[in-house]
Amino acid sequence: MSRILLLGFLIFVLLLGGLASFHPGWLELAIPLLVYLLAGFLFAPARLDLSVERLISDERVAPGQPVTVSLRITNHAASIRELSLLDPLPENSTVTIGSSRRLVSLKKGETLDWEYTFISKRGFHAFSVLEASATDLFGLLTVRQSLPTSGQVLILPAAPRVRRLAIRTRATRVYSGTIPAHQGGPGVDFFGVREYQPGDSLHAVNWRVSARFSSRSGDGRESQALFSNEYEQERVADVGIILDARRHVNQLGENLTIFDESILASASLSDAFLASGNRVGLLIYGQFINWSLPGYGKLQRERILHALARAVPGESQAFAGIYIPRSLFPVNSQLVFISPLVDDDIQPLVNLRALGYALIVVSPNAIRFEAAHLRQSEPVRQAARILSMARQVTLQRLRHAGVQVVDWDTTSPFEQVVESALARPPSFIRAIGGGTR
Amino acid sequence: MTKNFLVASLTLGLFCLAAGWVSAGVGWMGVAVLGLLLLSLFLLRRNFRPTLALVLTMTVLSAAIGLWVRVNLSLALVAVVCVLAAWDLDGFAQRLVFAGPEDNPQQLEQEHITRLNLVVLLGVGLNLLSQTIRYKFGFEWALLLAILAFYGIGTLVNAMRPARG
Repeated sequence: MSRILLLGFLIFVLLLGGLASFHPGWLELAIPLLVYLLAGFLFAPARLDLSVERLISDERVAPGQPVTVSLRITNHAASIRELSLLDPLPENSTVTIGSSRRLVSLKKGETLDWEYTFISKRGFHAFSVLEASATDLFGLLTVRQSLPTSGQVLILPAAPRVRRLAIRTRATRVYSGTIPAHQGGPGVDFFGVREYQPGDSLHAVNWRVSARFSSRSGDGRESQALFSNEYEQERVADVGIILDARRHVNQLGENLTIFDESILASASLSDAFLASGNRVGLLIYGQFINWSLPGYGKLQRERILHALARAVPGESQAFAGIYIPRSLFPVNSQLVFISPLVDDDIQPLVNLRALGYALIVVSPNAIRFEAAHLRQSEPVRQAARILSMARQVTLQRLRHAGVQVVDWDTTSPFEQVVESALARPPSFIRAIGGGTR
Repeated sequence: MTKNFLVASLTLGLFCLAAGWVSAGVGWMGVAVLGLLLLSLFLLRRNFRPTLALVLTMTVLSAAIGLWVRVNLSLALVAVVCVLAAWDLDGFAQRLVFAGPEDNPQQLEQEHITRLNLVVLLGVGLNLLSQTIRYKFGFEWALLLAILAFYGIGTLVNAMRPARG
């Protein structure tokens, strides 16, 4: 109930009761309430006419990096005795210097310069309004106004640097890169020997093989055949990163989510693949399917980081319905699926592998993550052990299907785990010669 | 400071009301008022927002009804004024949350309490004046005042609605 309505109601009851009962005491009791009400009326705020200018120190920051917001508010109308100002901050923000709320008085034409600093977690935040409310001396009458302002802050996800990732795809693109392309040409790794062709460097001539195959003909002349070493071409590949943003997979409790770990993995891997010159695209599979179309270089890195900064978990249930457009990610290209994983995801992933995609699954270990946040007790340990065993079975099924699996215990740094797991192609790919057809 | 004044004001007000009821010979009502004091202090500690609004309503009604059973008018008046002040300070404490360190909250508190004291003193002064000046009016005057009261309160409530925005 509003304060003024309550006060009006009490005064009304006392006046009416006093008049009805002819008891002067009731009327006398109403006097302090009336005086209080009239004092509120006397100093009631007029309409608000405020202008706001906003300046933000950095519009693109890393998580935990301080952002300073400067505001200049000018009162163009009558003096305001009690003005409350609230600058809504992003969720999970902490003000480190100053305050995002003020309670001030502003005379006509007076300007208030206000500055505060905050830190926040990953996300995008638009500072679209500043909430202002003016009240009389006793808070009986309030005039509110949402003052439109401009400004935005993009808090990008952390992306630890991964130095080396060895991927082997059956198909590569035409540009030179770091992925063995199963074709002879300029490169580093020995690929084979072929007959010398004009234009080949003399350094490439394999003299030992050439000597072995030189022959003497019937008329006594020696025919000299030359052979050149051939190296394996290294090219760039298409890499599709699929981030699992389904809420029921990522949300582990009321305030516990492993989604930020998946975001970190996506940012780090996309950065590493782009740094190697690959064509990288991102698919965020949450409530909607959010594509960042494949591209190269720093611009693409920015696009992906922006998409990851805004990513939120959604309500999709199953991964089975996902469709990977072949025009964007041709069969035989590399897919990286980042998800805590549930059992239902196995079959769709095996199907992707069967289509010919080289598949890496990076799975933040949700069981250890959740167990670390629970109070340690024997039932918790027992439950974690059982669930871990079930998870190992799930991961093993994926490995048997030819999927590279990175089981990431989130207490270990991501870059260490992924470098040790993906620095070399897995043994089964090495055994079949990189999966060439 | 605001919280201390609030608790002191509430305690004084409800003690006075309880004393008024006890002196009027209705001891159980005095005990009930003291129970209300304890309950309201407990609810305030639990940050139950509507506590003071409920206490103000009950205090005003209790004081007014008490006048019929000869509760001392001065005690009833002190009770209403003190609980009104507590209710005001509760609202101010909620607005004070907006004050940042650079707004000097202590000075804001002092200024508000000074203003509140002035208004309360004015109210009490006018009340005392009304107790000394007695005018016996007839039914016509009472009817006129009732109509004016209806009209005034109705206009007030209507006027407030758009202003609340």
